[in-house]
Amino acid sequence: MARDEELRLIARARRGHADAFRLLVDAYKERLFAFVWRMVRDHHEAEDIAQSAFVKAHEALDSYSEKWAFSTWLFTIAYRLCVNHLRRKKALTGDVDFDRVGGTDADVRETVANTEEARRLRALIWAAVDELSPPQKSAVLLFYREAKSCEEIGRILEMPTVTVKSHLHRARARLRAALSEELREGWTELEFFGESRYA
Amino acid sequence: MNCSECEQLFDAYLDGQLTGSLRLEFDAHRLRCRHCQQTLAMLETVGNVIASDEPTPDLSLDFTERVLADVARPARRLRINRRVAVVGALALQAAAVLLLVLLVNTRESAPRTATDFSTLWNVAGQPADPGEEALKAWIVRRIEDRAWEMHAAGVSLATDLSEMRRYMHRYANTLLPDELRKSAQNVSVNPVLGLLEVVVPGETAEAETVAPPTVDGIYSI
Repeated sequence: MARDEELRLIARARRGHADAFRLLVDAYKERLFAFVWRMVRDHHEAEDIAQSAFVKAHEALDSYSEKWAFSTWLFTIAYRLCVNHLRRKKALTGDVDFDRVGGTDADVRETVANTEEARRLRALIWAAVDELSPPQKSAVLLFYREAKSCEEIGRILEMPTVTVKSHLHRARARLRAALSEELREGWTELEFFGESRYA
Repeated sequence: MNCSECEQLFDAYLDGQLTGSLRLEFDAHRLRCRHCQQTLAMLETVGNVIASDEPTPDLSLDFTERVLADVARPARRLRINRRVAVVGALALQAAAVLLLVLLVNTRESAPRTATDFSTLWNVAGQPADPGEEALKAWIVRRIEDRAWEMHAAGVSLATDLSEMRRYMHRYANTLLPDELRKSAQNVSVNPVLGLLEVVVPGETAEAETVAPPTVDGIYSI
């Protein structure tokens, strides 16, 4: 959605136009849900949290500043709700349920990997991501999946940019350590679908 | 550039912030160092998987409708919580006033000091007069402080009323005539109304099943 169109919808939503807010919800619901689901790892809870995030965003529309992207502000709300939810559930043990990682859930769409080796690697990577702390995991998801800058991530996670970079650094170090045993000849020959951020 | 120096630049490279001559040196090392090539390739692969791989559950088809329905619904829950808090606060204020009435009108003299609520009932036979205004201020302040302590601790104000009841049981059983013991039963049904019965004894509805505590069951002050 173009920025000027988004601002127009926000202005109309502030004035009480439900159709404008509906378009905003439809524009961001998939991305927001994916982020929340990666954080809490439960389909129904993720939907509830994403739903609450939109409701709270609507209630606080008057406080939204055009200085930031709407998605940045929305993800800030969702992140707070995720953290509160995780604290309540005390789901911070770092235990990983491999049945729920890497797309093996029954209700998860299967993505295509061209080899069994690639599927295994994908499962390992997501298992390692799930073992990250919430700030590290959030920083990784927002950086790679949402293409947010470190400054925007700092805004969402309510921390300085330098702290975000520290979290990314530590997350990469942990991911590297978790996957180090897989480092071998021919690593660069593995193929994955999707465009590289570094292309 | 050696491997250690190159690894220190991994984050800057992956963040897209490595430029200029430093980037050239970084690339030159990477081209000839197998170890750094593999490590960097692994980190890039991790980033690619996280960025591109989307094995997520399907969002419910009615998600948007549910959001809009929630948005249209008024914030009733928040208003109810606030109403309970206001009613609770008013009940505590009323309890403080009634307690003051009891102290001022039913006792011939007040204790010499009133630094502790429990000591008010232990100072038997030692008449003292701290002054009505001081006593009023102390009672209201003490109850208000306690309410805020419990609020800050996340405790429901209803719990405070229950604690008030326990105080009143001790009071009713240690200082009031026997006929007022029965009035204290009403405290267990409705603390505020029960407090009224203790303060202003009179005809009351029969209390429900709770029996008045025996002397042995009373906590010592």
